[in-house]
Amino acid sequence: MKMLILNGPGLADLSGLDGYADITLGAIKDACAQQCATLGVDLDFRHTEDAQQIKTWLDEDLGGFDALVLNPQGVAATVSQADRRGIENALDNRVPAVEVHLSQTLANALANVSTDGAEAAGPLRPSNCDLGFVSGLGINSYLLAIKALHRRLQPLAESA
Amino acid sequence: MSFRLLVLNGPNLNLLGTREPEIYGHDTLADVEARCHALLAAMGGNHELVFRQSNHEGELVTWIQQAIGTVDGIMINAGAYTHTSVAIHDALRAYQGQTIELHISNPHLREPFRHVSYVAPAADAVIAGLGVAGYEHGLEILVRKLGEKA
Repeated sequence: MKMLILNGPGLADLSGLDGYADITLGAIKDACAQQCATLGVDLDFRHTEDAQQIKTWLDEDLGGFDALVLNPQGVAATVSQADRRGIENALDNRVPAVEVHLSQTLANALANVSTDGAEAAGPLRPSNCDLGFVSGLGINSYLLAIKALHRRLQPLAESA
Repeated sequence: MSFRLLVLNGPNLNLLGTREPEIYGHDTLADVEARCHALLAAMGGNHELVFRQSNHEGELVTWIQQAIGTVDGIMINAGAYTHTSVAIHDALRAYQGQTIELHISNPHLREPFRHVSYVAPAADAVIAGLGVAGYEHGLEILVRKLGEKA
């Protein structure tokens, strides 16, 4: 099983993220690598500060993987709604995926209910993707996503 | 270290396995409960799990209130009350333990009226769209988080 983990803008420096300032992207990568090694999953872990690069990776490289973990932090703040839509479209009809966040990104969801653009800043909404969502568990958000995708795909791998 | 855990299920989850199985799967809530107990037994630690379901908002509120000071962590799938219940929101706000909001499907990919959650602002974490396996994944992580805090 081959898994792609993509990390978006803002994750190079987490020192300003409340409750997670002691976490580094390197620590996330190490923890994911350990989890994948334990499960026998081949991991490709990537990060970009350019949200457009995420779409490029999805378009060009996702076909070589069985599952995707995506932390799109910073995407809403750095690209237009049209570009965000492009990323969502790039997820459609592809592999099972889980959107992950270190912090609980829906903590202020009610404050945004009547605010223009709340939908654009919320979770990704591809129209035809098996997409899970995990937020608020720190590095464990990634580890849970890896485990869940592995469990979901394992019967398929065994029967292949 | 052993923890007292409460899994709460809201309206229509008693129909799990028969209601829209293309969305929610074929496992019944009893199947899910059994797997949660089996998981905790395998993890060791003599954790205590109470697994409940109600179609009544007030009953869910009462159970959350009763958890205050007596339960270490709650995982709640409030079903459709997720998107409407200020009462459940307020009860969870009064609860001081760890709280995980859980959904079998991913509400953000469904109808717009499911995009708002009154549970999320009162929850420490959100897990959605992982199928019924999300219960076991969530419970395991809840125990781990409680262990880190202890």
